[in-house]
Amino acid sequence: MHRHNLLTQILKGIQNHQNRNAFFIDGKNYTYKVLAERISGILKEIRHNTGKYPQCIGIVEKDDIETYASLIAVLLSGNTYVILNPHNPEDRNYTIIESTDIQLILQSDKSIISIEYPKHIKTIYTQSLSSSTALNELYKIPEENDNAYIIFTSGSTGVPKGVPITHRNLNSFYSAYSDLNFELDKNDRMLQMFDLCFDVSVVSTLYPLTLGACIYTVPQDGVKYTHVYELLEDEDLTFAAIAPSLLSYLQPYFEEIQLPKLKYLILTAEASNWDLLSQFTACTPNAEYINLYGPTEGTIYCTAYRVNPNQIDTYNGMLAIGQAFKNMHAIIVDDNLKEVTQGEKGELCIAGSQLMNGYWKDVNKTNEVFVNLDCFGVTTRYYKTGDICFVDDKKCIHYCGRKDYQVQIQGFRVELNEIEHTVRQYHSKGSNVVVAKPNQLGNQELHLFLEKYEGNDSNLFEYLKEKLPIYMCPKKIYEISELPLNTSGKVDRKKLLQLI
Amino acid sequence: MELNQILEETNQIFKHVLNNPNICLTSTTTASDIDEWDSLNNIRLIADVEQHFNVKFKLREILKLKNVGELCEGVQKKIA
Repeated sequence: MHRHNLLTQILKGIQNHQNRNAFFIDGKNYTYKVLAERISGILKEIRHNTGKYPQCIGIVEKDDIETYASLIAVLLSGNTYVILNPHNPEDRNYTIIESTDIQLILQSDKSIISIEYPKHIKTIYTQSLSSSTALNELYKIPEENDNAYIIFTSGSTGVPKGVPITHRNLNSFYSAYSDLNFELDKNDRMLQMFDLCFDVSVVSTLYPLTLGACIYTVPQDGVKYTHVYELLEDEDLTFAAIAPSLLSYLQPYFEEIQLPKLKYLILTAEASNWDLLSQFTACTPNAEYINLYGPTEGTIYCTAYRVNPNQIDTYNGMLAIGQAFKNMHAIIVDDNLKEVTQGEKGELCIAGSQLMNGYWKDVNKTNEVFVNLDCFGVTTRYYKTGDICFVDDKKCIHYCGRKDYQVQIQGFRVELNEIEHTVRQYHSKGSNVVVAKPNQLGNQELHLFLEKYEGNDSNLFEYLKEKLPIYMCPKKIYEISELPLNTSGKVDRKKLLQLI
Repeated sequence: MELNQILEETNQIFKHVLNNPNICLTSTTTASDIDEWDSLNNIRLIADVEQHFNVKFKLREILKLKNVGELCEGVQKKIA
């Protein structure tokens, strides 16, 4: 049992590797001992300011040891962490604070762009807290049913949806992830390049700590791919989980890149184009590639495909997503929720112990995405992923695309409806439609079409930037007298794509 | 070519690529000063600068560039 408790294993990692490096952040090393002392200092303060029952604690994201220590401290206090990204619009952070009833916010120091918090909220500047050596007396292993974190994803009504993940979900994930049998230990050097608002950051941060390995972080602002490349090459990283689009930025320079120390390359957050990856294999002669898929609702990853370069399974050039994790079950159904035959396309549905219980305070949305299906004769609750997939004759699942108007941008799942909803708040005279089109590098870009619009584009851009995260802001605005409709009277998105 | 002129022409490229006519570059401007200057746009900016001045940067050279001033100096050295 303990073997599959993520927090117990992290505590062991800390205990057994005191003098080894836990983090490498902005050119500086931090040992497990220093990490433990920072965690303890923060944990003590959390204890002072919270009661017996678990609550949500906000953490303002920054690329520093304080933020990572805060995240672990919240988990070890038995409370739930919610990341607040200072680069996100104030409105969005405010909505998140309100809906999770946050009373306490942890922030490294006062230098971070401050969010206007409601008056009753207490902010702790963790940098000013003294370190402590009393970790063993302070921590608490949380109940399995308590939430470890809540991650907010894009929602179609303009309100972000909260995905609460329990410790049971997380431990179940950890157990299945460990079963992938990576040959990793305390000597490994592992990349953490993801925004803490995105759930791959959870495994990129917590898993290395169970091994006593060192985590190499990347700042979230500025130009990410150059940082990642620098770390991979200069620090001889052995393990990296990346979004494949990162490689498309590096593609013009593949000839200059040599990463012989890299043992594993995890591809995640978006569909993986094998044509691009196969070119990159020359840069990584000793690395195994693994494609990992999963919606946030199913705790980070729930299927895995191990790449064998001699026998590649692709569909439309995209790598297969493989088979379900051991505690998960995947089936593909048609519009009537009947399981399709092998080779036929349908919506991927997943069930199992990594599945969230439901969206945060949103029963309607929860009911929309869950469905009861028969699994080996037992009625089981499945989550409809919205991803169109099929299973090939080797029982390998292939991803074909999204069912609805969601797109994946820089790893973030974006509902086009949410952007349209926000545009309507600004311009309600005519309709508007947002479409996504891949650019020359194959990465999705957003284009906004506006009816009856005579205003100033830059004012609209400014408005959208205030309301939406930068990755959700359209790259271009087009004025159009009337949106084209298809035969069923819906906006003809295909025709709009041709206009770009 | 004079550095000032390179900066001026680079500024035009930035305005165009980042779709923002209000950008005013100085030699100390960095990616964190401009919202739109992200990974994707960085590739385009470098590609457009390379094409405009008919030069080519290596990845290592790009990594060493700390700000717009160093980018312009890099261009100047290459066309000299």
